[in-house]
Amino acid sequence: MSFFINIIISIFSIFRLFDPNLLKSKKLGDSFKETEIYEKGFSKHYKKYLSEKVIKFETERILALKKARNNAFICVPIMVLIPFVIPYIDWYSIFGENSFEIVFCILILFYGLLSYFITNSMNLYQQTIKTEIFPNILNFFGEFQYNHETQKSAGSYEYSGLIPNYQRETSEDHMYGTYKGVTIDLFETELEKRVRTKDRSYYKTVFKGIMITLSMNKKFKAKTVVRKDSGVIGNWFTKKFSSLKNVKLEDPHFEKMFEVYSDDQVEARYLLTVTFMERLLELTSSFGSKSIECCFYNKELFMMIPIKKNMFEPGSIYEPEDFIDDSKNLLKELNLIFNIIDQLKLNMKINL
Amino acid sequence: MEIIFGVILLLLILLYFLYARIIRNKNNVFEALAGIDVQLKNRSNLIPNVLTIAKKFMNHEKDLIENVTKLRTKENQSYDKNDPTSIKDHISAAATLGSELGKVMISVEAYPELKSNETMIQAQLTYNEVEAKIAAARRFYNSAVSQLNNSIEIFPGTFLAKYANAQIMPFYEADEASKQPISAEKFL
Repeated sequence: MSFFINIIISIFSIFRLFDPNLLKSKKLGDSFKETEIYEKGFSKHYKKYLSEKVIKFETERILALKKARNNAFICVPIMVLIPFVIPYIDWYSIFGENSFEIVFCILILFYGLLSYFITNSMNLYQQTIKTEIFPNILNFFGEFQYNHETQKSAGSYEYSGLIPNYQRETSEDHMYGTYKGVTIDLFETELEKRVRTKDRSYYKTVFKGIMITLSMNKKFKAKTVVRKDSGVIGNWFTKKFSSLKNVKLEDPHFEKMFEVYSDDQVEARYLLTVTFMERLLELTSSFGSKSIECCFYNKELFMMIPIKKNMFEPGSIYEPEDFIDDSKNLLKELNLIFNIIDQLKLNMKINL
Repeated sequence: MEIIFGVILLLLILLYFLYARIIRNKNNVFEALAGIDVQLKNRSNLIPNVLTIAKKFMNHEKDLIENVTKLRTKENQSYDKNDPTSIKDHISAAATLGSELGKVMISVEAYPELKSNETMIQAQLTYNEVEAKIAAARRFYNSAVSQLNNSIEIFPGTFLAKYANAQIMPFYEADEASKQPISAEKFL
């Protein structure tokens, strides 16, 4: 389904290429204005590491748009003409009984191919922003690294028992570094499961969001898993088939939202103190009450946060390039991640 | 006739499940109690180190130090895990010792030399860690006790508990001293 939606979105974005003012370079913002607390000090960083790259990238942006527009001039007439030509061809004699379905699929693929041909230069430019500009923005936080592509896989977190059954994985945007003494390692991923029905098979998204590993200041040996509550029957099945024991905690609100399993009842409570439970609930509401799941294991806290939006993406190519929108977006999204450490107070060595 | 047998059989199965639940809950309490004892033992092992350093500096807290030593001996005494009164006394001794040891740790603040002593700093860190683990063990114990007591107090649990040799167990509560409001003036 998302494949078709993407095709429709790219077809619509193609029409913007015919805007007569598109290739005119507009006046760019000369400085970064700090409007949020977490942006404090970034204007200096912007001036030092980003402002000098603006002219080069603005030229590249215009070039990418020019190339896309030239390709659009060739492809769009074909795209417009096709629906008028199709009725004049005897598809039945070519494909037989299922000619409607086959032609429909061919058309979708053909339109997809043409859209790809048109938008390719734009996509490449956007990727350059990610590979060349994002690391410069992330430098603001010290030793923070960013890679658009990642070798990380959800498979390496199977030990948590939180990874759903999946057949296809798309991972990108790998970031790692240290914030307030806590090491962070995160990547964005989408896991899909193959669903077979009588007539067809398709992929259904079972998880879309970010997977984060955070170092913990507490020492622990056991494995403790915090899962979303899956109702009476769901919880009963998990209890029956899990090697871990269910941990009943005091907070009724927490118990309503989550189910905790561990192989050490005392250690689970040592990690999930009353205050920590409250913080986890607050964190859940700050992520739009999405079911955050986590696992304490091997001196680390692994978290799975479902987020529908594609995170860590550059701003629109149709806007003049000054990296201000890119910086603001990235800072906002990272602030959300750092908020996890601040809210859970993972940097503090006290037992709260 | 068959229906009566059926009902009796069903009733017996139900009673068996309730009986098994009491046994399971009782064993959970024992497991939790063992968990507390492991943590109390860790704290007990830490006390001699703390007191040895403290004695060198804390001339005005001799009574407090002596009291901690006495309470440690009392806490280390063996007790009957099947006897709720014995468990209550053991828990009470542990809670009082915790409270008195807490006072020692607070008093350290008044002795700058002791406060900056490397061994003391390490002992304080370990103490905080152990106390956090005791708190966690206490939560597990109280949760297990709550389940056991509920299964005993609700009919037919009262009747079945006799056969399962299970009794109402005491909760691990904070001692009276730590329930008192803290006066900031004492520490200023």
